Amino acid sequence: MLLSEHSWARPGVWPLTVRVPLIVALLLIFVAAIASERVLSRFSSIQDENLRGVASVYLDSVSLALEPFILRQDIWGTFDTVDRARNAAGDLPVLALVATDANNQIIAANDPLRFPTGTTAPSDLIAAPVVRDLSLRYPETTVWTQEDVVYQGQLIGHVMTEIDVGGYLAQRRNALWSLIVGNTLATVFLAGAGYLLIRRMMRHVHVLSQFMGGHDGAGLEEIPASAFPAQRTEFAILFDRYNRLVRAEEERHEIAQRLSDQAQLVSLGRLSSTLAHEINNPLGGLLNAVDTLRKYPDRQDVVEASVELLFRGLNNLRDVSKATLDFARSGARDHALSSVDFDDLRLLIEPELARLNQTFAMKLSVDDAALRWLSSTKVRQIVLNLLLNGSAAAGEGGAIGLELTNEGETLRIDVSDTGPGLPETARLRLTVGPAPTGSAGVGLRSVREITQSLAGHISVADAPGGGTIITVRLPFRPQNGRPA
Amino acid sequence: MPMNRRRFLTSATVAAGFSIPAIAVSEEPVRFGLTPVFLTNDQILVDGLRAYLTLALSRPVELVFRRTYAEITALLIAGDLDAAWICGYPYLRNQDRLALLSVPLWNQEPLYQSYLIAGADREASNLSQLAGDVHAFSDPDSNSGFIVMQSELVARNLDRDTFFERSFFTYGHRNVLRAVATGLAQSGSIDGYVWEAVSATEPHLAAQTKVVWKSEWFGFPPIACRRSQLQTEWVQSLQTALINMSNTDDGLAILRLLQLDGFSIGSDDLFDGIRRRIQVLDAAI
Repeated sequence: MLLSEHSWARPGVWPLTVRVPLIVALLLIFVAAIASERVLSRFSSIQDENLRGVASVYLDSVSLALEPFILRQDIWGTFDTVDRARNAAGDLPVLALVATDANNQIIAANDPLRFPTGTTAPSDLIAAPVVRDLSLRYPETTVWTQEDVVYQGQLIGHVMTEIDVGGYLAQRRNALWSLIVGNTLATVFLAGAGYLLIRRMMRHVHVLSQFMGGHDGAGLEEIPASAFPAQRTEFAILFDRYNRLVRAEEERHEIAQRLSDQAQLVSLGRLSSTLAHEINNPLGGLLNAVDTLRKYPDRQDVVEASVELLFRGLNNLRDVSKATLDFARSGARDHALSSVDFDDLRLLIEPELARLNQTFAMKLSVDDAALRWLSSTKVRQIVLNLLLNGSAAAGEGGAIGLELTNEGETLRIDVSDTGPGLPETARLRLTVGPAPTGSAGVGLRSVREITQSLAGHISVADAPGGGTIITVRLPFRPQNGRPA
Repeated sequence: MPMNRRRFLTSATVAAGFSIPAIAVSEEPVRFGLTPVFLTNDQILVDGLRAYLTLALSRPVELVFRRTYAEITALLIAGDLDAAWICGYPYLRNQDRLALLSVPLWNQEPLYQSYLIAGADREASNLSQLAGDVHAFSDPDSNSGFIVMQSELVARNLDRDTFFERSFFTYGHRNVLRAVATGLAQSGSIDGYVWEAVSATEPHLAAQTKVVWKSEWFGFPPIACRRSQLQTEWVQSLQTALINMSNTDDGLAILRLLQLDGFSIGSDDLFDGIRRRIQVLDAAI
């Protein structure tokens, strides 16, 4: 699957091999970000607690040591104490220590140049949080904190200290970078692994997609054994099922073709019985006429009448046989549709109508100039099937009708009957076409398939006075605009 | 002074620099007072001095430290100490009760000066430029660390109470140096001998200060005892031990740590300079 086939501007159409690892990577980044935030947050609070603990112990002892000096306002004693206390701060990186009286006047600081004796402590020192409120704030690398110096319940001064928290922040930064680097490596590794894995899986999907045919309408094709996965994986099973589907589709196609052929034979079978009947009926009269001719060869009037009778009877037989022949030969020799074809149809079904004592109304409102755009064979097959179907539905003494109308670009064919209405299964077979069950309904299926091949459309409606109207619309220039 | 056996042994041992075990430890110890005003509480020096005196006196010696001259002087006068290294000023103030036992020799002289020091980066070159300073004194009973500056201000008709904006005592000459070096004080009054000694041992500390003014010469801070005790045998022994210090290796080691040359008997007139200062000061009160 080439990446160039996909538009990078539209992530929705990116290949799965890219999208899935990307989603995995994004999920990992999301999870890593949340986990890192939790870790750092906990780490920060531990650091804060640690800092508060150490600072509290330190300031407690310093303030205790300073107590007598602050009480006496002893500058040197205070200085000496804070100076030694700063140097003895142990693990706590103390940068400055300032001791003030209760009014925040500096008694002494370890760095007297920065915090001169006798001056008021800077406001940020006075506002410094007490130890229990102390916390690290990035990116401040130093923090101030203070503690009250209390003697016999009286506030006598404050001790303020500046602590270098750069080490804490560096630890925090190191932890952050460790998390970033670790998570990035893990994300890249898992996304890469995901990409390779998905690409490997998608290889089979690609094969399947190739054999299923693309947008060019190529048919389904069986996947050769050589393209099957080596192991009996889900894809092997899928390929196998796909191949069975392809074979089933081919069989279905063959059956449909066979049924289509059968439909014509069925129509012919039904016609041949009426044809035999049609031929048989006049044959008696014709044989009688021949007998009459034999008996009365000298009687001019009888001869003329008998010959005329024979002529009309034979003509009739010729027309019937011609129409049958035309229909039977339809696959071999096609010609343009004309109104004569509908006269032939009337001729073909009349014996059947007569047998069932049915009436037939035909109305042609289309001229041959328009009809000639359509195929005679296909339209005749559609109409014949619909008329035979209507006749069967209308039953003894019923009525059927055929009406052809020009609707501009399409030919409209309405076939009506006075039957009880089209059953739902027949209606679906005509319009949607579920799989055929046996030979029943083969005619309607043929109508649908032929109509579709002519890019036409079928609709079924109930007639106002009962019965059914089946309407077929066929475009005069279905595809290439060439007369049939 | 009768030469008994013990005295002979002691003198001989001290003179020869022999080390012999402490003897007669059951005797009442000699209590010798010291203050950190003058000496740093250097354990090697303290141990060496105790060992030297114990040996020299053939008696146990107890070194007693107090923070101020006042405390040590009070203990000495009250009889709780047998002798003490004090300053010339408390010696003179209590001259009726105290006697001179020995005076250290610095640069071969029993003399020293008071220095007025300021931060090394200051432009000041005389006292008047230091008006309004935060000033560090060493001890209210220290001649060089308080009396000299007080009397100097009086002599110059300056107000002792307002000339410096603020002043404080550090109870140690070396502390005065630290206070000025760190900026806690802008100037300070210090024993010239201590300043020179620290310049030699801790030059980086002394280099942060400079000497703005030097006083005249005074008698070096002496070792004193109660006047009533001066003629006792053991006091004489102590005096001998101190004077003989420069004659023994152990003594020389102690003197090197002290950056002194030795001890002399000294004379009362060495302290006339301090007396004049006291007079100036007393006249102003």
